[in-house]
Amino acid sequence: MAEAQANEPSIVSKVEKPVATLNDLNEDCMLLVLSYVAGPRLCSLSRVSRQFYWMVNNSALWHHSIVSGPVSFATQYVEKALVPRAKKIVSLTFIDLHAHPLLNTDFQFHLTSTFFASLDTLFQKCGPHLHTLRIQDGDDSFMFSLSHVLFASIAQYAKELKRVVLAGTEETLYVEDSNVLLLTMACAGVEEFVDGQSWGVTPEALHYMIDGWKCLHTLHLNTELQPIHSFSLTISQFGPRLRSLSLTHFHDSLNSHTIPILAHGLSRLSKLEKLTLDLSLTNHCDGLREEAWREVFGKCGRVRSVEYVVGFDAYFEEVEDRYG
Amino acid sequence: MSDTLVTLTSQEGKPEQVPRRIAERSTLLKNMLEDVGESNQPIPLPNVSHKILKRVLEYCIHHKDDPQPPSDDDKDSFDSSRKRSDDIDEWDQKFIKGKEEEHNEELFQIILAANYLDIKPLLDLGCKTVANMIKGKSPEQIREMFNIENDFTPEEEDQIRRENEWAADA
Repeated sequence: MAEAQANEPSIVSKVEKPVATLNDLNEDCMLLVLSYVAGPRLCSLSRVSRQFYWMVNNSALWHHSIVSGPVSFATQYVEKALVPRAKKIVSLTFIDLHAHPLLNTDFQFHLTSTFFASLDTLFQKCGPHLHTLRIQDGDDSFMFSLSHVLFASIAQYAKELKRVVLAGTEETLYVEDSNVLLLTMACAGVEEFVDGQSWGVTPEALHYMIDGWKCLHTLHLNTELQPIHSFSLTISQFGPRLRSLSLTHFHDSLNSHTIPILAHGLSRLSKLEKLTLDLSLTNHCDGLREEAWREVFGKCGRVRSVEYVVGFDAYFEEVEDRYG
Repeated sequence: MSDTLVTLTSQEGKPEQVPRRIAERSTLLKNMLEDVGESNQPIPLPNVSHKILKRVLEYCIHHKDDPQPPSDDDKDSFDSSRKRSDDIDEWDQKFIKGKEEEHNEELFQIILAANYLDIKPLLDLGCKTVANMIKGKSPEQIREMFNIENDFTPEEEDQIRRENEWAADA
């Protein structure tokens, strides 16, 4: 009763001075507004009115769900907000999850395992229709020590995944061999894989993908751990599968010896349409020129779209050649 | 050809002439003009008041050289990875703020006009602004700010509050 009384003043003022209310917006606009309000805040909006309650629970707002922030809060969010709405979720993103830095290790461990338990429940419910999974870490991320537990849940329940993005830091190796093996065995329908990891996948993991992901058509790799010779052989085994390929960071230097080898490997990807080479973080692309890239692209007949970023040194040399 | 003038008629029947390329910031008008071809017929906009039409055109003139946003046929606007609402540029912020005393009403009408005329960036700007007003406010504050009636029964309200207690300080 006290609640109802507290609300009276606003009703009175409405009678006195008719002003615009949020109800003037149509449903499409209202949903667009709510799409800019992040998860947990969205939940508390359901207390505003019946219309808000209905809209907050509208499925479209939960199709793509994001879990982020301190792990204890994220656990609550998963349990209280996402698990009950799990049927609506088709895409899940974990971004910048972290434990409080002042907590002691045992307690952090406890929080993390509770969190993974809640995720297991979530995957159990949303897994069958989940098509996109993204994991992206910041510097304070905590999931590294137990990430295989998470991948076990994914492999058990989310077998229909089509798109996987794993972007950890140097400490959170989501793309380590055992995780990739689990994913390639359990989620056979993956079409797009983005490895945005510091370090990147190993040559072995690449083999798992060749064996497991027969529908893979888009692949973004951090190639930091790949020696060019073996990479060239391995990547060619994807054959006509790949339509888009993005590479970064080669382990050894790209020069007049190694470029033809890479080009040869890429030439076997007979249906490749888009190729991206971002070497801006590579220390070893001394003296690479435009002609060198032409050699690579010249071998890939169907490639329509090419983007490449070379290292600073190479760029300046090229500029000097042209204008100097 | 893009310098030809187009006449738009507001709700009140008042005509407003604008260069075609300004009018074409609105996807609705762009498609209409393409379908009709060269014509001096005024275009009636019965859903937009003259005042709001002027405001919308002010926005279109400022943004006349922006690249046209990609026409997204897939209307799955909820699927983008992370929707930000803190990336509004200075001019836009000032524009959407308008006059203090009629802020809300005008804001809602601009949103509705942008939705009707299909001007995606303006629609986004309006919705982000409302989202930013909502963020960090309690349900009571939101009701007051937008004059929304609390139409829950005390029992319902109590239950929903308990359901969402965990999110109270989000």
